[in-house]
Order: sequence, then C-alpha cells, then structure tokens
Amino acid sequence: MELKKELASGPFMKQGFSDELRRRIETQIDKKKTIARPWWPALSGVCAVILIIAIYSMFGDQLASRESALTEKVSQTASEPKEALADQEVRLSSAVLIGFRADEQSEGAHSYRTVLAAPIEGKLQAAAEGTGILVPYKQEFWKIEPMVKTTETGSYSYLTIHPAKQSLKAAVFKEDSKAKITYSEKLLYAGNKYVAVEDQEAVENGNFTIRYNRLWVREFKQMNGGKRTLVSEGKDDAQHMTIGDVLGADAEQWLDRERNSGKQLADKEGLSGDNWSIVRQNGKWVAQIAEANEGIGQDGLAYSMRNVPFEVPDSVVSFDHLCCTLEEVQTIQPAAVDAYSSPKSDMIAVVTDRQIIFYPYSNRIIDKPLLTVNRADNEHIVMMQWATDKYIQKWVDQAQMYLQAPEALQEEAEATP
Amino acid sequence: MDSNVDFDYLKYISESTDKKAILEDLMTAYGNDVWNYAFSITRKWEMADDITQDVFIKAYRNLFSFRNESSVKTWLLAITRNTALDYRKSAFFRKVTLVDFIGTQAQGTDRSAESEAIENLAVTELWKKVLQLPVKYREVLILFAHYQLSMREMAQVLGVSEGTVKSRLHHARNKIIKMKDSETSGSH
Repeated sequence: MELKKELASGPFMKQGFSDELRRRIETQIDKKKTIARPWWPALSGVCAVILIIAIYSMFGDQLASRESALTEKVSQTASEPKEALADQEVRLSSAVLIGFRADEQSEGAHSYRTVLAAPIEGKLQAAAEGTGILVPYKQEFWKIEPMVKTTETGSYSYLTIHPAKQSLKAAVFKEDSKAKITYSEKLLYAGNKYVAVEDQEAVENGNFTIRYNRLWVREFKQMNGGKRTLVSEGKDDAQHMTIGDVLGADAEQWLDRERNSGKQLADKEGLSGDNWSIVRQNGKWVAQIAEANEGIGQDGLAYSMRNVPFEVPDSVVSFDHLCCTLEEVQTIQPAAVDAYSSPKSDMIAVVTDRQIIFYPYSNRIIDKPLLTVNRADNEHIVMMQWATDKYIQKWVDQAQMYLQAPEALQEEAEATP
Repeated sequence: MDSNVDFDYLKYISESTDKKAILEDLMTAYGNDVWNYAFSITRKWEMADDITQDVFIKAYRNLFSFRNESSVKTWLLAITRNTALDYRKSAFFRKVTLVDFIGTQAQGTDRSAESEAIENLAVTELWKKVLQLPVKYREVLILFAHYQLSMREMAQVLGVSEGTVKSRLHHARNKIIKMKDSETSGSH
C-alpha cells in the first residue's frame, strides 16, 4: 500500500486554511495584548499568579522539554515564584542599543549618539559608542544621521537614514525664490522600521515670518533620500504613515468619532490621522495624535497632543514590558523618572535626569549597579532596542564597526590632508 | 516553496525583526499543514480554525525562542498538536456535561456533523478511512504519510519514543488494511 503517495495531498477538496482565517489571525496579532503591569503595586502579585496558572494550564507536560522551544520561552517569561538568585548568579544575556538626541542651543539644531550596553565576558559594559542613531533593521544595521543643506534662499537641517555600510543619500529640496526658508527635523522615536519625527519650517516672506510644526510617523524607506514636501509648497505630504496605517481600522474609526464629536479644538480638519507621534509616557511607548489648534492660518501651524487609546503594535515597538512599578524602581533609585526591562528579565535600565543605570534583575531589582551611562541635560532617549543571547556578539561586532566616537571623527578629519 | 531553506533566516532574527512579515511567510508556507493537522486530531472544522489561529499567534509570540533544533514544520506541528489536545480536553468536559442532561443525542449529533464533513469533503476514500481511525493511530499515519516526517521528527511532535512511533504506525497500517478488507468482503 503506497500510503505516502495516496496521502500526499491534503484530506479535503476545500482548503481549510482560508483567506478569511488568515485575515482573522492577522487582526488578532494587531490587537496587541499588553501584559505590562500598571503603576499599581497592589495588583502585581495577583497578575503574576494568574499568569503562572494560565501558562501551566496551556503547556502542562505535553511537550518534551528538550525539544520544546515553548517550554523554554515559558520558563523565561512567566513570573514563576522561585528563589531569587544571588547577585553574582544573574546571568546577563541581554544587550541594548540606546539612542540619544541632544537639543542644541540654536533653534532647530540637534545631534545624535548611540551607546551599546552589552555583557562582555560576563560584565556589562559600554561596548560601543558613536554619533548618529544605529538601528537594527531586518538582517543588518542602518544609521540615522542629521545632514545640513544650505542654498541661496534656504537652510535645511534634515535626517537621513541609510544602511550603515553604505554612504548617505541626500534629500531633495525645491528652491523657492520668493521666500527664505529655514527647515529642521527632529527625531522623536526610532524602532523596528519606523521613525517619529517633528519638522519645523519658518518661512520668511517680506516683513513677516510664518512658522509651521508638524509631526510624522514614517517608515525608513520614506525617509531615505525622499523628497521632503514643505508646507510652503502648498502640497500634501505623501511620505508618511497615517494612524490607521499603523494602529489599524479601529483607530481610524475612533478618530472619525472624535472628529464628529464636536470636542476638537479647531475644525474637523484640525484632527487628521496624518500627524501623530510615538512618545514615552508612564513607562510605555504610546501613540499621541496632534490636533491643530486655533492658530491655523494666523501664526502658522501648531498643535496640541492627546493620547490615542490604542496600543502601539509590535511592528513599532518590539518589546515594551516593564517589570515593576515606578514606585518599586524608586525604592532602589529615588531619582528614577523612567525604566526599561530587558526581554530576558535579567536586567533593568533605570533612567534619571542625568544617567541610565543598569541593575541586575531576578524577580526583583538587585541594588548592585552594573553600569552607568551618563546623559546630558539636553539629551532625550529616542531609541531602546534589545538583543539577546547569540545575537549579542553580532551586535557588538557591528556596533564597534559602525559607531565612531566624536573624538575619533575629529582625529580622522584632522588627519585627512 | 521549499520551506526549510526559506526559513533558515529564523536562526538570525532579533527583537527588532519584522515578526509580522515572518508570520505572513509562515502562514503562506504552513497554513494548510497546520489546519489539516488540527482537523485530523479534532475532526471539527471550526475547532480546527480556532486551533490554527492559536498556533500562529503562539508561533508569532515565540519566534525568538525557535531553537532550530527541529525544522520549522516540526515546530509548528508540535504546537498544533498540543493546542489541539488542549481544545479536545476542554471540549470533552463540555460534552460530558451535556450528555448528563441530554443523553446520547448530543453525542450522536456531534458524530454525524463530523462524519458529514469527512464524507462530503474528503478528497479520497483512503483519507476518509484515515480520518475515522482512533486519534493516536490517525495522527501517526498522517505525520508519516502526509507530512512525511522522519521517525525522529514524529517522536518530537508526539512527545513519545521512536519505538512507540514505530509501534503505532504498524498498528495504524494494519487497521487501514482491515478496513479495506472489510469493504471488499462486504462485512461490517
């Protein structure tokens, strides 16, 4: 009996895995279910117990532990009550790329740097540091860097993004003979394949200057060498992602209801799904929409921000789960204003006004700092990207290749004839 | 698509990889395999839908923990099996409760709904027979003949030894032969 031959094709004439089922799965994935704990210490123990019961009832003893990736994952992510490890036993298996933006004194001027904190021979170190924002993208690293272009009638300070191993690709700006334009871009967030940017445009035309501020969320490819559309050109920008593109149809429907609610500050056109951003708030990355205020057409274009009641999906922020409440963090570091947990729950990066301090974590924060990264008063975190286990060495190698310290760049410039 | 070659990159993904794009590829390559296996265990169309959804959501959430110690297909089939068994457990409890109050009518109704799907939709007579086998014989035969897994891979998916796999396969083949013989002789 040739079983393999006779059973080679599927059992049914009609395909069970339909397009409808596929869409259903995609919709479920987009509805990111948060497991981040709220800033309410009283619920933390209850949540941990429920999670343990749910995970054990799902997996039980069905899987062979040696072959089961799921069991491995469960043991890593479940908040199982186990004996806290001694400090020296916390095995570090996470690395993080931290991106900073510094806001300079002169308006519209920004600089950027990236630090890679990684365990090297068991000790957490600043393994690489340099200018620009080094961001992992698919199988390689890309770099976000500021560029300046000056013309007879304008000054343009903008962001470029390119594969780290390739050279920069300049953006295109149309000359305007009638007005003097000062344009600048500021990076607010970088993660996965998205950036959130704010652009400012000052148009000096005769005796008056009109200023415009806009917020955009863009895919990398929409930034890379693309033409920027200035407000003063009078055309709509086509190089951005709307709130519906990223957060889904439910967010679009919410926006429609808000527009028609009569609660908006300006008219209906003041609340568009085009201008929005990703910001850090209460230990999480959240989406905020920009609502143009009543200043439209008079002093220019400005906006107020309001939270969008939808989770930022995994496609934007891969990992955004904090182990603890801010109060718990502050028992260890009273100056903490924010914190980021590693995906492997082996460490926590605590942010103060002047520093990022890494502590080991093993069911609790262990008050023995592993590493301190200083940050200036005018520096803001725009990126936190984690790597774990076997990916760490690749990140160390590539970050050391692609990140150059400002001093090294200066020496290189001086050495070049 | 030669799935094993195309998914070699799963070894190199990081937390910043576009997991959604990977999920799309996995569903294209293995959606039918996962669904067929889920149906072969439960023999319920809508339950197979639910199980398939759960499997891909679990795979999506656990992409980083894929250790490449087995093939992607084996990994997904293992998740499918365990998810399907969980569903069967909960469905069994519901069925028992129903039977207490309603009697055998509910079981009869459930059986005819399953049989109807298999009878009307199954592509060959052999598939109809395979889907009528007891589950432990059914799944080993399907993993062997349809998914063409090796003995080692089947042992990984089923969570048993290779010896047990061989034994079940032997019994499964014999049952199919008996079913065929019964058909030929007209006996029931």
